[in-house]
Amino acid sequence: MIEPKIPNISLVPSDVFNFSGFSINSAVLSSLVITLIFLVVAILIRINLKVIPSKGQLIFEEVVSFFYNQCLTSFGDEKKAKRYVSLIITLFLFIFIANQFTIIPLVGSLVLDNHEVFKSPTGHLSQTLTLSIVILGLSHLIALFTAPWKHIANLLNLNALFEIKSVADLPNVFLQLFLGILNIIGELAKVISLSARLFGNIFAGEVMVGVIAGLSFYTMFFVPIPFIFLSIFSGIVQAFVFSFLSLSFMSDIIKSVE
Amino acid sequence: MEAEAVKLLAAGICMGLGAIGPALGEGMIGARAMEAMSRNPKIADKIVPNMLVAMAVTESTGIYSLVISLILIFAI
Repeated sequence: MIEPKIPNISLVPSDVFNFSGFSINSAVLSSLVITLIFLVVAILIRINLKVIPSKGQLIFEEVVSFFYNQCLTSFGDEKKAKRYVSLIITLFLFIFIANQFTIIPLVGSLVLDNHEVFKSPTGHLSQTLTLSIVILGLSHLIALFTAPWKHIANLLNLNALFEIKSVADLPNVFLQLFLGILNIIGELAKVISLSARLFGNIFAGEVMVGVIAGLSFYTMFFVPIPFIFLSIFSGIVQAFVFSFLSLSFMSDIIKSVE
Repeated sequence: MEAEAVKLLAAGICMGLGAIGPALGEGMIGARAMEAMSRNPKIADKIVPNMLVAMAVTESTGIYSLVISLILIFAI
């Protein structure tokens, strides 16, 4: 009889190898591998691009047109939609592959020195935090470059300071400044909630499957299957939700300075 | 009680209480979306993405409590 064992759950992924002082951990390694897969698939699709599409090309055309339509409805401008649609699709496909990466047979069970070699990179907070900081920082930078004063005034209403005419205006001005500070805190909270949502879902799915498989001998083989399906489904939904929310945050910020 | 036991207890209570709100909220969103879809099946394709995004936003309080309990168990 095989002895079941609950895996030791840790937030920090294990180091796989050292590369001249850099320690490469499992999440970084698998995100590199995913990027490589991504590049190869993109180049293959690009080379085989035809007017009469093949089956693979058709799938990607469907994805692109779906996200293009969503961008069109949230930006309301064809030029802007064309500019930002590639970022949103890349985000979606990367998170989609990253969430399902350990589902691929043999990938999840590769072991080197008692440590797993590949781990779902989105089940690691640094990855999701990086993605959300990039998205929100990029949209703030774009807004700052298009209309610097307007963007700052949108966040923190400094114009109110110059409109003080009498003492009776003071409470109103203080209220405006306080609301501005709340706005800035809200922007920071967006970063945290966007990253923690993806991380929490993927990490919780992994932990749930691990705990159920390690509970007893009878729950090792067939009982985790529905939970694995659930985590696959939630991975797809979270990839979708992440790209959608980042699209709506981006379009909100960029449209506010027009 | 020992500090370790209090930590685990706090993590469990935090997750359990934090899951109540999102569960109710997501149920409401799902119910309303179903109602809208059954009333007007043609726009079902448009409702589903919006429903998922709204659910994700509702879920964030649950995710916050998950993060807090993870911090309680692993980080402190």
